[in-house]
Amino acid sequence: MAQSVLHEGIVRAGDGAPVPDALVAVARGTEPTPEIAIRSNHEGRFGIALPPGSYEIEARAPGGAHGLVTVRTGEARQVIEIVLDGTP
Amino acid sequence: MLSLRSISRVPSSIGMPRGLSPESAPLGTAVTTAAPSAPQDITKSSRRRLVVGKRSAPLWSQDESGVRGRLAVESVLGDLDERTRIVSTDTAPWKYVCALSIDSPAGRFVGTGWVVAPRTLITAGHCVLDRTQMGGWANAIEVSPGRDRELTPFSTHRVVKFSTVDRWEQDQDPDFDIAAIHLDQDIFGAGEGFQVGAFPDAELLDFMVNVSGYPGSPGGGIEQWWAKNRIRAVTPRRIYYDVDTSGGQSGGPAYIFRDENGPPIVVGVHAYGVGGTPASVPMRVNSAPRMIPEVVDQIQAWIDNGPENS
Repeated sequence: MAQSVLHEGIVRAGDGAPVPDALVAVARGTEPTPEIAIRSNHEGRFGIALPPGSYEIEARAPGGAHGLVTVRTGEARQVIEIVLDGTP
Repeated sequence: MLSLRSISRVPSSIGMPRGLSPESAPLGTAVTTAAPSAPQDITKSSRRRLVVGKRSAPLWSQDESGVRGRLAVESVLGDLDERTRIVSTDTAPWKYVCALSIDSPAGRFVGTGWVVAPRTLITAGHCVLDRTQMGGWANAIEVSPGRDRELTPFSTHRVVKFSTVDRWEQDQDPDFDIAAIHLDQDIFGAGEGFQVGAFPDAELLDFMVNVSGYPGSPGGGIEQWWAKNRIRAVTPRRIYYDVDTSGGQSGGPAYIFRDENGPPIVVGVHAYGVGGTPASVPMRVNSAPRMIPEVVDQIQAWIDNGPENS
């Protein structure tokens, strides 16, 4: 497998507030990624290791709000923001 | 001959790797851990649900054009998520599937493990050690066998002793993405839990496989979900199956029943979604490191000896 890069991420509610304890996972991707789920911290932040490729990354808050973002990553670290839509 | 060494993280002592000289059975014969000696209290309703034996056709057709829709996820193979939530998690085999809450230097994660002996669980290597995602070894893992939301029928156990194999610890080789979690006390009786088996290719292909785990979505890592279908392809080190899964199910068991009254036998540790399937396997399938004789031997060593001398 290609070498993974640890990217920073943040989960936000629709009003921009950070969302702690959301679970983040790769929903779809062009490269292999482990099926572990990542929990956002008290600031809504998380780190996600991805080999260069294209991905759909999903977040789900404890209350059920859901968000999905499509990203293309390379060898440089980037920030991934996921905004929840408020619909369980 | 392939040789594996165990690498352990034991905070109170130094884990001494022991070189393995596996006397593995030649290819073409099955190799298993000792069969459970205790009766498996699998209820009739669970027996009706679980899949047994082989099947030449899929249980349902896949949408080969790909997944669509807001709730469709990569490792859900088609338009519909075929997984079922399990609520009778205090009965076998569901009670042997464990929710993992992982604390690491780089944050917290959700994964899945499964009971193979009274104080030994098996999971994916990346649930206990991942230098990029987790910043190294996990600090501690909270293990909840048979968890169902707030219900923990077999308590929650905080564990700090882990083992993996050198091919994962040194190379992060996905074909050896397997680890053990060692508890300090028995959580089930002797002979309870999953059996582990290495089988020839011809026997595995088209075998009906069950995959259980604790996904982040649905379920938030505290609901047990299960799905079934077939083993569609095998390579020397991996098995591929058209069974829906999603993030959080890493480490979960991919298991078969050879007959209606037999124990559940794990043939792979679920680890990767569709992206982990090589071009040589031209299907939309999920995958697991395969139980091969050397891995079965290592798991038996972890069962027999724990982390220090395995």
